[in-house]
Amino acid sequence: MSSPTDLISVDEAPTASHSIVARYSPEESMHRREMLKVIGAAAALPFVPARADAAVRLAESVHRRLDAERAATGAPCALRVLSPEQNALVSMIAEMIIPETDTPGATSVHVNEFLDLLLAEWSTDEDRTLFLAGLEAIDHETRATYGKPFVELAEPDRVVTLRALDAMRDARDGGGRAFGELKRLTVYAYFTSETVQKNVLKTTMWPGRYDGCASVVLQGTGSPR
Amino acid sequence: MRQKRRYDAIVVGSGMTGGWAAKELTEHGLDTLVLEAGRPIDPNKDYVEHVPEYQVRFRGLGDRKALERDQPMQKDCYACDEWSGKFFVNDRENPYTTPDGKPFRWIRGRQVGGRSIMWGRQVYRWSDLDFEANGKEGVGVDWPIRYADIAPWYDHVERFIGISGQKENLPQLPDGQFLPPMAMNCVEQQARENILKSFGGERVMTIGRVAILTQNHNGRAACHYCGHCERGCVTLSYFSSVNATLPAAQKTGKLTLRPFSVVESVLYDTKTSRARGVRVIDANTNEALEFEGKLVFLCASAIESARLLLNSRSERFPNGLANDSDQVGRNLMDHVFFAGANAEMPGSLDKTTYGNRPNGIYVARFRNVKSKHPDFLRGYGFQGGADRSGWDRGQWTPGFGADFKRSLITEQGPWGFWMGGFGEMLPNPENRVTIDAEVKDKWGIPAAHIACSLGENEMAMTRDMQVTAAELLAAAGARDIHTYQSPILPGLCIHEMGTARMGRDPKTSVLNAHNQAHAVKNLFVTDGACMASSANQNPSITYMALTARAVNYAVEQLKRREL
Repeated sequence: MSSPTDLISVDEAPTASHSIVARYSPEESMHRREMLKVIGAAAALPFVPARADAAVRLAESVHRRLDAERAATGAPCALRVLSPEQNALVSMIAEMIIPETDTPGATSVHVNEFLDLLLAEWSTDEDRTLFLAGLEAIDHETRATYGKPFVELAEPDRVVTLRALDAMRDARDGGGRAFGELKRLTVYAYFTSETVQKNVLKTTMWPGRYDGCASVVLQGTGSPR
Repeated sequence: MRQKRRYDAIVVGSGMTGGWAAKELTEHGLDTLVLEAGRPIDPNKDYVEHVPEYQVRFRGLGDRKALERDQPMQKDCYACDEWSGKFFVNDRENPYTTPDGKPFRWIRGRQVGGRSIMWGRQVYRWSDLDFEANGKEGVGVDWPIRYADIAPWYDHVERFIGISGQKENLPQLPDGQFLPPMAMNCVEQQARENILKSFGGERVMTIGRVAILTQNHNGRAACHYCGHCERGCVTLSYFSSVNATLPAAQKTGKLTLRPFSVVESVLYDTKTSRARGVRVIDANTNEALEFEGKLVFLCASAIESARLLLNSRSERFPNGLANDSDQVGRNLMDHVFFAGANAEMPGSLDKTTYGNRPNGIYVARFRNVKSKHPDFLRGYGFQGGADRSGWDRGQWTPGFGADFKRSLITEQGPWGFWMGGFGEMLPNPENRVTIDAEVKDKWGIPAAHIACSLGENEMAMTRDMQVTAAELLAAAGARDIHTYQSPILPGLCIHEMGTARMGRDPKTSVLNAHNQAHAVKNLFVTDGACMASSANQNPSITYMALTARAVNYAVEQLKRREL
């Protein structure tokens, strides 16, 4: 990969003192440091680049570097809300919704961690309580029917149970509600995960063009709306 | 460091119109100070359009608790999301009040660039159907200008900012200086043909006219179709003041841009009967400062400019600067966009789209154009578009397991088509911005009190929107058509305007035909406040054209020593 300085010469790039936006910023020096770290050169992206194609190439390289930096700092988080038992139940159901096949499943992209994050930082107290109570209701139901919690059921019994829950996924409470929420979040967390975006959907942030009559084989063209 | 305090011109606001005022004033050689209440923007750091879901904490679901605490009003705007939320104000620092039972969403951006950073980018010219309507129907006041007065300024603005669109030769929706249009997708193309046939050419669906470049233009790059303009654009492909007008102003060497400068009031000089300058609170230090200018341009947005005038009281203007007519703050309008329809479009399952087109289709106004509608005055257009659902449908459709997963990865849902109305709101003096002396913002400036509700004309229009949206979709070939009417929440269209209207008579209007205050000759208001009616077109292009026109007039007056 060529360095951004090859794409836009330093002469074409105004320094910070000429930049309309950085000029009055008390945080200017911090912005500048971050930028230097990102593009690794003494040239900021000029406001009105002399050549538009050069700006495109520079922007691409900036974003590639940002991607690499962020990927390097992604670490798994410890669960804060889900108990080990709840986590086992949630993880098993999520993997049944999106199992590992020739592509990764829900477990390998850590759907449970995102769910736990939402329960800890996003959900209302009421929604969290209803969700956790719904998980309990699922086990309660399988104990009544099979004499075992969900995670200990034989696979055919688990499938039968999930089918029943799927039919009740719009319920206001109970196991159906918890399943519905878990299913929505499993689908969302799975398809927005880095692994799936990059390796399965092959999403590009830079389509470069719009084709309104493309063949269906061209897929994975961006983020969800 | 000693700051310069006297300038040729002062511009309050750095957004859609402030950027244009800055560019035109500085290009005419005037030493210009632009005051922006918010922070500076650094495209290198603040533009985040290519940050994917997995790089933001809540994967795009937003920080719900922070939004409810800090942005309970702003969060209702679709663009106030986990990426762009930083471009919207903190509602706790920027309060406003409304009467019981009359909610209003005042969506604001305080930063260099203002709301031009996250605007919807749709641009439609007005026609004489719009400029003549008030006068013909005896509603509000007659516009003091006609299409011929503004047409060259539309040209001027469009040539600089770059508008993509398709010429249609419609008298009610004049064509402009277009770059090549974005493409309609195959389902939209078919819908256009079917609708033209069904309605004898009276209802025309065209590709949205949009301030996004389809080819390199004035040093800015063509769109690369990443799809989220409201998050910024590192290639400067859509128009914002940060991307285009402010850099042009800066190039003249005549621009001084001062962020973190909250304008508290406009200062009035009784001896000269002119605005002397402005009083500013430094947002960081809370220090009060005064700046003087030969010209003062208010480009702070309709409600903010009205608030500023109402907060600028003097012996001569006890009810607010330039408010002899008592019209400052009145006639607040937004667009009516709470109704439409969606449907499934059968077929075309071998076709999909590639790239994220940041634009949709537009149906030009057809009501009260050739014939008169019995239930309401004026009209509306539709925005919308067709696309196919992707993996996201898995959140709501039945199923689980390997086949469910495979279908979400390898297949798409059917084509859907959405159409939502954007309707004209009539000026009503009771829809009004006043000052709530009890409530002050973070800088101690009295807040706006906003009383606004839709009238019978607007409600009749929303009913008709549902009917005609369904008709259009049926003509297009849709099935499973559902009409909708969402809760009425004025302000949410973010096209607020009208609070310091232009007119011929100083007794009934605030500004003359050149956006000049009748009573304060060196004071100009060129944001949405100046509008005497709302038409149904997205308004920014008209604000920009009026701003450029007003600056040109002001500079001429200065040269003739009449200012």
